[in-house]
Amino acid sequence: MFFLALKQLLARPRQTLLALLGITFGTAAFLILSGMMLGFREYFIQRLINTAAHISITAEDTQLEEHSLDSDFFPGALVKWIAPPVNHNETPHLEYPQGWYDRLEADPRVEAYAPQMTAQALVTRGKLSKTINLVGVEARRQVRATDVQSDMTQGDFLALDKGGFQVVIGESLAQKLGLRLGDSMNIINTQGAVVPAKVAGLFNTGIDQIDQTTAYAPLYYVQQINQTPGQVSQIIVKLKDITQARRVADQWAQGSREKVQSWDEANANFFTVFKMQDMIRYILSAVVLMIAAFGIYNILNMIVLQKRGEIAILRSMGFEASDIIQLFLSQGLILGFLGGLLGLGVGTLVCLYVQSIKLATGMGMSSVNHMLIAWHFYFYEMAFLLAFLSGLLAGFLPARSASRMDPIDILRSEG
Amino acid sequence: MGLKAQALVKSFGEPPTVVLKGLSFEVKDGEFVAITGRSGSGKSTLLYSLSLLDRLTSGHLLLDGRDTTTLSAKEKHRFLNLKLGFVFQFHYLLPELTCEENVLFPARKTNRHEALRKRAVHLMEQFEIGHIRGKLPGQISGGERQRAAIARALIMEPQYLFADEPTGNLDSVSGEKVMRIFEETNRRAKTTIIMVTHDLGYANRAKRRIGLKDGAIEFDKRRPGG
Repeated sequence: MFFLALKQLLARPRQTLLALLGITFGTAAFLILSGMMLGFREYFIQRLINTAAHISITAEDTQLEEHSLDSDFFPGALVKWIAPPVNHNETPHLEYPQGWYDRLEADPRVEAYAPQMTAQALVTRGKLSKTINLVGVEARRQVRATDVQSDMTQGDFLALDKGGFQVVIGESLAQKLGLRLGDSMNIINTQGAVVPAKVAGLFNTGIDQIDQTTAYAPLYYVQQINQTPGQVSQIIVKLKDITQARRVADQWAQGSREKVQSWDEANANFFTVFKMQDMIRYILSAVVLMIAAFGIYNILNMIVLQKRGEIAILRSMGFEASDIIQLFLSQGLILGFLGGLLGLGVGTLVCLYVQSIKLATGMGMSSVNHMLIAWHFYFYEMAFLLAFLSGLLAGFLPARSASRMDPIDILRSEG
Repeated sequence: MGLKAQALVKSFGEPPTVVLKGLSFEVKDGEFVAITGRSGSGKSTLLYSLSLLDRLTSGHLLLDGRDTTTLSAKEKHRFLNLKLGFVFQFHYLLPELTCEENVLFPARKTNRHEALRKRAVHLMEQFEIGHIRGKLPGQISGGERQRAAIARALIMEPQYLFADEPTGNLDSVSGEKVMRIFEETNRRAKTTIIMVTHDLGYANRAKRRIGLKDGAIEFDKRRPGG
């Protein structure tokens, strides 16, 4: 029956080509959309993991509510505050960081960890100023726990440990303030105190949001500027196996007063966007393939109606209902199979072209100078499977209706 | 062993219209039978019932000694493919296939199309259509198409050949050629032929004529010396 199916398809070159093109475009669309969307996403996630931490342990910034202090001041009484207590203004910090250090040292899953104190500050140079996140770090630990050293474009991150108030800043921030390696600048804390600092290095993570607003400084100095000596606002942890991040974070979070988050939890908003992108990708591809499948369905349905007499003669020759199903179903499958293969070829070529397109802005990622495409074998499997399934579904209904035709009814009506 | 019809009844619809009213007769192996009758007499219904294409309402049909009403679907299809051949008024050749491919198509069911290629060529040459082997049905004449359809019906060397108005769409020259092929096939291969026709001239060339009227046998005559 495959022989006849092939002959019938070849006998209608224009219809076959149109149906084939529909499937080809659907398959290629899925491949291109997947490659483009996931290309940027994977790059972004990789940068996020490298720049941030696998797990962050952060001081919980608890909000004081109207009745939070009732039991402390008036135990057992029903209290109506004339002026309810408001939240204190203290910088959130870990209550007992040493306890965490001991625990992290003992945990075999931990590769490295680094304490941090983050403070808001203003950087000025001449008449230029910029608000930044000043991150106090122990350089040696920071280098082990993150990829910051590999992001350095000038200077050495470990210079922060060599004494004096030195900072390592993002390249974009340096450009905005006109700073170069070795230049001096002023850092102003939230109370208005001015401290001079020297640029010991420049980094480029590739994520503009970080490169424009982050400056690293020795932990001790940041604690002094922030007037929080000895305090730590966050510990970042690098695990030996990143895939364990969510599980380990959940385990540590149990019974802890601090907020323990894995990298994906901390960036949950991005993942919501990614999920929406996925949905759009699947819906778009499904719509294109459905239109293509509908085209195949229409063509096969028409063939079935035109070929009633031939179906009857085939049945009279001893061909069974299953042979008739095979005849029309295989036409849908041939179209799905060939359209899928062609779609993979077209999709790959378009992806290669898209990847070669140069970008001026980098779409918020300054280290990217061309369009990014993700190349995964499972995209190909998925795209081909979708094409094949649409051919199968589109072929099945006409095939079933053809197989249910009673040859004698056809002969009577045509005779 | 031949064909044995016992009280064949076929009715349609609700309330039922009885088209075949308890027909009983026997056709011996190698007979050439013409079934005649006016339009609506039930001759085509009888042919389709005898050839297993249509289901009987009641009665028994024995082919080769086997009661066909007890055949499983698989056995029935095997019977249709190997033992029965059909020629209809319209050729029903598959337009995408060449004449030779059409002739060989029944053999594809059992994957014997390569083995039977020589026979196909021989049949086509015998029927004077050897020159159109590689042509599509749309490229040949009506008479040639019908002869190709007969070659297709005979490719599996069936024991029985059923023909429903095989000359109905043909001019007299082509009709004559078809009749000669039937006579030759019946004589040489001893194929049992049951042919429905309203053309008395062609019917008279069969060895036996069964006349139908209102679903019953009006007459059953053998040709003298036939």
